[in-house]
Formats: sequence, C-alpha cells, structure tokens
Amino acid sequence: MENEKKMITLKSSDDVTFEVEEAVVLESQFLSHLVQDCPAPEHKIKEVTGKILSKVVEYCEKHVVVVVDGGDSSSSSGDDLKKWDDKFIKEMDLSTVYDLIAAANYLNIQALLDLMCQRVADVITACKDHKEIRETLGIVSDYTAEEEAEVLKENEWAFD
Amino acid sequence: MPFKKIVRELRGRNKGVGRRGRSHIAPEGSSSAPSSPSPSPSADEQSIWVDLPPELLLDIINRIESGQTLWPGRRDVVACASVCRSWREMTKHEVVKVPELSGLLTFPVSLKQPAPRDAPIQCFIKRERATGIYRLYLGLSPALSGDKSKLLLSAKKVRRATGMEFVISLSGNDFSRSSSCYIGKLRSNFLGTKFTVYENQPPPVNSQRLSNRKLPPSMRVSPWVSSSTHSYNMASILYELNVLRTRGPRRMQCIINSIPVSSIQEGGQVHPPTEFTNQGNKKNKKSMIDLCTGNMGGESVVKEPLVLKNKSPRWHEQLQCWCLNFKGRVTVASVKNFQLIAAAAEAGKNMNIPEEEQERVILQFGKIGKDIFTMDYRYPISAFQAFAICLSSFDTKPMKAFVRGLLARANLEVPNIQRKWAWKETAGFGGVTSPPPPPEKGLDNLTVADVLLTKDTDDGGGKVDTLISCRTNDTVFDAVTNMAKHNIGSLVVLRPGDQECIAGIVTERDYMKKIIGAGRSSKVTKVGEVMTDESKLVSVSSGTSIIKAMQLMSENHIRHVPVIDGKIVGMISMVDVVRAIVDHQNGELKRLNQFIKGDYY
Repeated sequence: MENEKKMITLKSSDDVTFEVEEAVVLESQFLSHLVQDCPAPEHKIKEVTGKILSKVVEYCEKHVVVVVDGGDSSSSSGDDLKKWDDKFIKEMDLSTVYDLIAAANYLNIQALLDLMCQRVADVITACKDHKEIRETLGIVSDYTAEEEAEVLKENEWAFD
Repeated sequence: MPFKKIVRELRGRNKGVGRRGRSHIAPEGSSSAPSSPSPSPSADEQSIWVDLPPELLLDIINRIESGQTLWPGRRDVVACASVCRSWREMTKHEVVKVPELSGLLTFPVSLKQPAPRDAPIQCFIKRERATGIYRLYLGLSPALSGDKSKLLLSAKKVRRATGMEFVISLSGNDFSRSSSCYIGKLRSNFLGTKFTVYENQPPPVNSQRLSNRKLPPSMRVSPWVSSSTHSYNMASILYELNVLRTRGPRRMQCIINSIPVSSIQEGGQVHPPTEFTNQGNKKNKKSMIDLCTGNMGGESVVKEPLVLKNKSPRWHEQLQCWCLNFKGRVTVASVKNFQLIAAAAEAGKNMNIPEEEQERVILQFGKIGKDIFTMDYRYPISAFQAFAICLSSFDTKPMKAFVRGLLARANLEVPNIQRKWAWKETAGFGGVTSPPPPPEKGLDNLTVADVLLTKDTDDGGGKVDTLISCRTNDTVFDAVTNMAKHNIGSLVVLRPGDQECIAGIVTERDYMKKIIGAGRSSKVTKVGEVMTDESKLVSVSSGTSIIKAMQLMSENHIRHVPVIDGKIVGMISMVDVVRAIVDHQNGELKRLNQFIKGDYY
C-alpha cells in the first residue's frame, strides 16, 4: 500500500513518546477530538504515564489492526481478539488495572474501559467475602460499630 | 494557543463529575458517595481504589450485580454492599432494585418488600416434623434448584398455653426472640381458627399510628427505639373450620393490616420498608429517621387493609375431588393447598379492584411431596407475609380441627339448609345410615348414654358388647388379639376374679409405646404392666354430654374414655362420638328434607 498513513506522536507525562497511526488515535474519543481540533504533530498527555500509555497504545493498535483486517468480520478474528484481551488483562496487576481504568476513562476509550471494569468485577467476584474484597483492593472499613453489626447480619443471612 | 486552552478546559472538567466525557446523571441521594470526606484521615494508608470515580464504581458493581442473578452467586452483591460506606450506598441505593422491579431477593430487607406484579417469586418450604422447624427456600423445588436454593426464612413451632406460635427467623437454627435474626411471629388462637402475624418493626405506612401525640418527627421515633420487645400486628388469618367443611375446602381470609387495598387498585403502590431495623440490634438512628420522615408524605394509617380470600375450588366429577389450577406447581392433593386472591368486596362494600387484579393469584401454596411444599407469592405481599400465611395452613390437624369445629358448632345452633346440602355433597360421610337419635335432642343435649345406646344397636341387636375386657394378668398378646377380633382400639382391664372392679384400660397406644417402642415381648408382658392405671384414668359418666366427652378427649389427647357410673358400664371412643354427631346431623338433614318436601307433619 502506497497510502501514506498519517502518524501522530503521543508524549506521556514522563516524556516517553509513542508514534502511532492516526487510526489508532481515533480509538480514543478524547484524542480524536484533540487531533481534529489542533493538527499539531505531537500531543502531550499529562495525565498518563509512559508505562500505562504503552499499554493503551498496545491495546488500541491491536484493536485497530483487527478491525481493519477483519473486513470479512469472521468470528475467528473476534475470538482471537477476545483471546488477546484475556491475555492482555491476565498479566496485569491490580494497580496497573487501576491506572488503565483511569487512563481509559480520561482518554475516553469505551472498549478498554469496559474490559478493565469487567476485570475488576471478576476480581471482586472471585473474592470469598467482603473482607477479602477489602484486603484485595486495600479498602479500609469506615463503619461505626452499629453499621458493622448490620452488615454482619446481612452477611450471615446471605451466607447461611 | 487555542489548543492549550482546550486541554485546560478538558482538565478543568475532569475535576468535576463528568469525567467520562458523556453526560452522567448524578446519583440521587448519594451525597456521601466516595467523594465524602472520611472521618478518619488515614488517607495515606488508603489504597488507590478508594479514589475510584463513583461512576466507575457504579459500572463495576452493576457488572457484578447483573452477572449474578442466582444464589449463591448473589452473595457477591451482598459482599460489595459490605465493603465500606460508599460501596454500600452505591450498591443498596443505585445498583440493587427492589424485588418488585427486579424479581430478585438480595438483602434480608427484600423479604419484607413486595414481589413483582407480573411474575411470582417461586419458593418452597421444607418441614422438619421432628423439630417443628419450617424452612423457606428460594427456588422451584429441592430437586430442581438443589444447591442453588437459598434459605430465606425459618420458623419454629412452639406450643403455648393459649395456642400455637411460630417464631420466624432469618437464621436456619436460631429461634431466640432476643436474637438479631428474629423478625416476627405467627400466633394462633386456642382453637386454631384465627392467626395473627406480628413483626418486630412497625409497618412503615402505619408508623404514625403509634404516635398520636403531636411530636416532631424525630421524637416520634422513640416509641419503637425503646420498646425493644414490641410487636406490631401485621396481618390476621381466619379459617372457617366447621364440621360441614372438614372434607371440603376450607375458607380462608387474610386481612393484611400493613397493606392498603389501594395498592392493587389502579396506579396503587406499597411503601415497603427500605431499611431493616431490628429490635435485637441497637438501631441506626439515622436510618430510622429516614424511615419515618420518608413516610411523612404517605398515608398515615391503612384505613382499608387489603383482604385476601382463598379461591374456591371446583368439584371435579370424574376425580371426585376439589380441584384448583396450580399451574403444575402443586402435585399432591392436600387440605393445606390454597390460592389466595384479593377479595373484591368486603362487608358488602365494593373494593374497586380492577377485574384482572381480582383474577390474579397473589399467594399459592401446596404440597409437592412428603414434607415439601411450594410457595409462590406476588405483589403486593412480601416473602415474610407469604411465609407467615402459609405457616398458618400447617397448624390445622384434620382430627383436631374436626373436633374443634364440632365444638364451635355446638354453640351455634343455627340450622342452615344451604350448608347442610353443601355438606352432603362434599363431606363424604354420607355412608353412615344408622337411624338418627331421638330427634328432639339438640347436639348439646346428647349424652354419653345415647352414644352407648347407638353402639349397642350397631351389631344388629345381637350381643350387647360395649364392654370388652381383659384381666391384669392376661398377656398383652392376648389383649391385642382380642382387640383385633372385635375391631376396636382399647380394652377395659379388670382385676382378676372381680367382675366389676376396674383396674385401668389398655389401648393400642400403650401397645405401641410400651411394647413395640420399648422392645418388649407381648407374649410375656402382662396387661397390668402396660395399662393406664385406674388412678390416672380420665373417665365420664353416662350422663356426661358428648360435647364434654369430646372436649376431654381432645384436651387429654386420648381416643378412648371408660364410662363409669359407680361401676364400669362401657367404653366410648372418638369414633363413637363422631359417628353419633354425624348421625345427629343426618337426622337433622332428613327432617329438613322432609320439611322442604312438606311431609314433615
């Protein structure tokens, strides 16, 4: 293909640069507005670190490629993508998941956000009870003793 | 540079709510959502997840909620609601919908909220006879739901001096009234014809009734904070049990004081509790005030409570039984089975209930196997109310009810031709065709002597044998053979050698308990060892009215009473009494028949 693809440079908060095709940038609604509104060659994204931005770019590139290639929209490519997504999230620790959620939210990439929220939901579902959820996510209970008793009662009933 | 300006603007917006770039609807009433300042500023040890934007937390919890619609997976939702305040607010008030909308039961409070309008919530009840414990599970049946069935409520039957009581608990084995699991009770009157449902928290709609004094709303709460043992009458269930209907369908009526009849009129709704207050716990004051102030706008008192009645079954000619269409949810015929619908008119007053609502079965209950029953309930009643109503159906033993019914009828000497006819068709006692006792006698004038008389003539005027006896030194085996020969259940035991001196009586039950139950041999044991001794004997004289005799038998749980007029003159059993009464009724029926045809005089 001789079609010259328009390249865009993204710069993370810690000055890591990524050169990506415009199609990849369009996955993010926030960035596509940005690119349309100001046709500068380089865009600094202050909210996202290089580590996370690399993940975002990885995700967007994969999805763009599949969407572009999958003109036949065969289910196999869909399955592949799903497999890739699974692998993508599996090797991630929870703090990366959190950062990615924040980034996806900020950059407004709905598909990535859905994927990440689902991942968190799965993590929570895998927990045995609320204490394990607190432990996993590092949340500290802020209940009064009375509220705690009420919560305990509900849990006793639910786990009876 | 315009570009920088845009970025700045976007970032500025970021700090607000609409972080996701689409139009977010601010969660109602969740002012204390994650952004709320936590009382202890231990933020340094708090993890990043505490700062998760509320709309993302909502997204995540929504995913969990919609992914787990069945128990035990639903526990995850409860766990989410337990993590911390913000999660709790979010889960309870935004994610989880009331059962009326979702058809799902999630928190204990949903047991006191109404089921959906269109489809019933399907449950089953398991009875444990030995312990008198009844357990309500969510699920189609034990076979179909298996491990997925969720224990919703349990009840334990307790015998009290004044009648039966069922203690209803959230726990499967904690039935203490002071426990935090206790949520209410069902109590029967002495005759088992009227039941009252109490709950430990006031029905929200009624809460203002409690405080007639003019107090500011916050003060009104106090009556039910302090009086922890207070019970609130929530519903009454009345059974019309009488001799004419023991074999036919019973009539049931439930008056649900906590639900106004308007709830099923067009556009009506129920105001169910949104918080689970409990007398055992020290309650969260805030939630109670919410509860009360929340009702300030609603009706203060249920002036016209919802009244339910049982749907009358059809008499099925071919099957020779009463039938109701339970849509496959009930498979075993039982006197306990019922379907409740809204009573269209109460005390001659039209309740203005739409026709389709009149047809709808609000609660259906029936037997599907030994000690297993299904319970399907629908708007506007809650699981707790439905369970309590079903429990009342358990506390009616046919024989007891029969005798009770007779006792009740004996006091109501109102001949009703219509009823007599209904009875003849349904009762199935019509096979007894002995000549009626003296027609002048009313039921309460009938005495034990009359019963003995009918008994004597029963054998075709042959041998007068109301007194079949044995001796204390006979073996139990001989005594039982003797009973079997005469087709009776008890023998008078006489002292050896003395024809008229009674030593006691021996019954089938003695044989069961003291021989079989104790593992003794009937061939070596003497009657004297197992009989009920004369000193403990409950007896009547021939002048005793049969109503009185029946009362004695029913109170002492015995089926045989010797008749002693100075000396033993005979023995009457429950069967004899019942037969005499049925004969009496038949005689009355015959006379009324003759009266209608005109050949009475």
